[in-house]
Amino acid sequence: MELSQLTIKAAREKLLAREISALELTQSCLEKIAASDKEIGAFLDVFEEQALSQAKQVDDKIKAKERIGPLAGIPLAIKDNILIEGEQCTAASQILANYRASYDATVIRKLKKEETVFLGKTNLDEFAMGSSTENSGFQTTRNPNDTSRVAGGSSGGSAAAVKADQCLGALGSDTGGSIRQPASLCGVVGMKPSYGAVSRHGLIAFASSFDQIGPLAKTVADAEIIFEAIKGKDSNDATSLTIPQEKKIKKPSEIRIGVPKEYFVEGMEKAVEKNVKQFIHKVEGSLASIEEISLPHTKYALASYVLISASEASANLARYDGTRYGLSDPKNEALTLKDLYFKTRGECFGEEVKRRIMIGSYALSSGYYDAYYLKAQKVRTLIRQDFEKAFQQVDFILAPTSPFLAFKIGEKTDNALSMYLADIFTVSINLAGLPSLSMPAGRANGLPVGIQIIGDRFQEKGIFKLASFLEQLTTDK
Amino acid sequence: MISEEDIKHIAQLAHLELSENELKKMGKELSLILDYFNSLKEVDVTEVRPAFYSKEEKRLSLLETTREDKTQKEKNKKEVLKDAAPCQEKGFLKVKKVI
Repeated sequence: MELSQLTIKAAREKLLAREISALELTQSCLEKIAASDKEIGAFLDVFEEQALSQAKQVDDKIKAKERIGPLAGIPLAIKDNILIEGEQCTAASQILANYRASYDATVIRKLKKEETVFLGKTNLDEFAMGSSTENSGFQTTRNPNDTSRVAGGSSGGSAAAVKADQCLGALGSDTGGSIRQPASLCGVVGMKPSYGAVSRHGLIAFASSFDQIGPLAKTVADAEIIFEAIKGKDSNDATSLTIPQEKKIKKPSEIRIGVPKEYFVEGMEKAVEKNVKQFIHKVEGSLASIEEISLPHTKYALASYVLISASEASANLARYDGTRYGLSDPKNEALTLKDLYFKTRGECFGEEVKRRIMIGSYALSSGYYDAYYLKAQKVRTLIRQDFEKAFQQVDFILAPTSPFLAFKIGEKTDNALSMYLADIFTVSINLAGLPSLSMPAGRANGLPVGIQIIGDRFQEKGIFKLASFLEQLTTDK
Repeated sequence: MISEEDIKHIAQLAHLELSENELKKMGKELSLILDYFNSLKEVDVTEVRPAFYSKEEKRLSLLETTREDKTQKEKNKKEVLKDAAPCQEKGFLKVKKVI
């Protein structure tokens, strides 16, 4: 077994027992990246030297018998929309091709304190807008299970890197499914925390009332270790909160599960539906109850999400104007200020980013605000209330993560709407600000299927406990 | 259906230069997407408040967002600028003539 195949938990035990060194562990990941990333395309940048020197420092501490943090010496990959001081941060956009971060994101500062090893920055859809990484301004990431297929998105680089054992775990961000959907398509664990659980300071903003940073990992336990390290209130992100003490965490045999009937719709792949139902059937006997529930406004979630997130994006991306960021030649005296704005944005933004800016500008423009933006925000309230009612009846909700298996590269690029439908089962959770974890639920046609556990706000601990239990119950020994 | 005039107007508002081809394609796609949004029309939202900010968030954040008014040391501005702006002089951003 190669060291890069280890889980975080196992690697830590071996590090502490001095069976392996952090240097060997990091070298193993770097070798794996060198051998496989030409084909997979998960990384936009690899920090070979820094990673090795970070690892050596941890080894010195272990030798000196100093205390080390839970993620010390563990090589992680970071989505390239999260700032690491002094390193590139492109959000996979040409407009940031020359940008180097001038500070650390709060999650990075926390991981640095734990002496985590950063292997590099992973690919994404430009500004995290997409479900396949095909919208990246640099490269398309391929699914390690079948390289003719997409890895999902937008955190496709992070999900593929975890699946291909190029790293032990990774950070992603999830605005409408961008951690859970690629986790599902690649067959790894991905977790979107409650809105406010993790600071977004230093995350390049897409849609601020949705964005959350979260972990991607090989096991539920590993995802929990990363989440514990990055969570918490931060004075640099006014929406971050101290996670309130959770209600009593129930034993599996006391847990009532709801399965929303609206999450099994026409148009979803039969193989996914069959697999998810089999999974639910398999675990049914070990839980208190599994019952059908209804989240009646689910079918309006995607429209509401696209409208609101595009509106927020059109405002968030206004800062990329050629003066503060961009590629256009500022010495070209012939250009007026307005020309510079229009040219920079027209040339540097990719097709999908322009489309979302257009949708958002339209929805916010005078005459359409009430019909589109305001209406979508009211529907969002109804979607939140659906979940509030459901959680009076059940403890957690189980649902498919993605309506389809990993699709072929190029299959959905001609039709924007069909790509948006990839997020049909994930966006409601972001609209409601809830935590949700996607985990593997077996395979269909040789490709991974994912199932998500949705909890009430700040029930992360309960989700991890239930997910661990289900993982044990369903993993083939 | 969204008109070409509308598309051009929105592109102006959004500060985006779009080629003729892009304008055409954008018109087609936006029309399809706006059609999809029309499904929201059937939802009855009488007396529903928009979800700009949930009551729960308000309650929690009011408790937490205030802090002591203390100065914090930040990096010097030259260093922050140098990584972002394509054009600058003596530590200042150089911008196009506005007036």
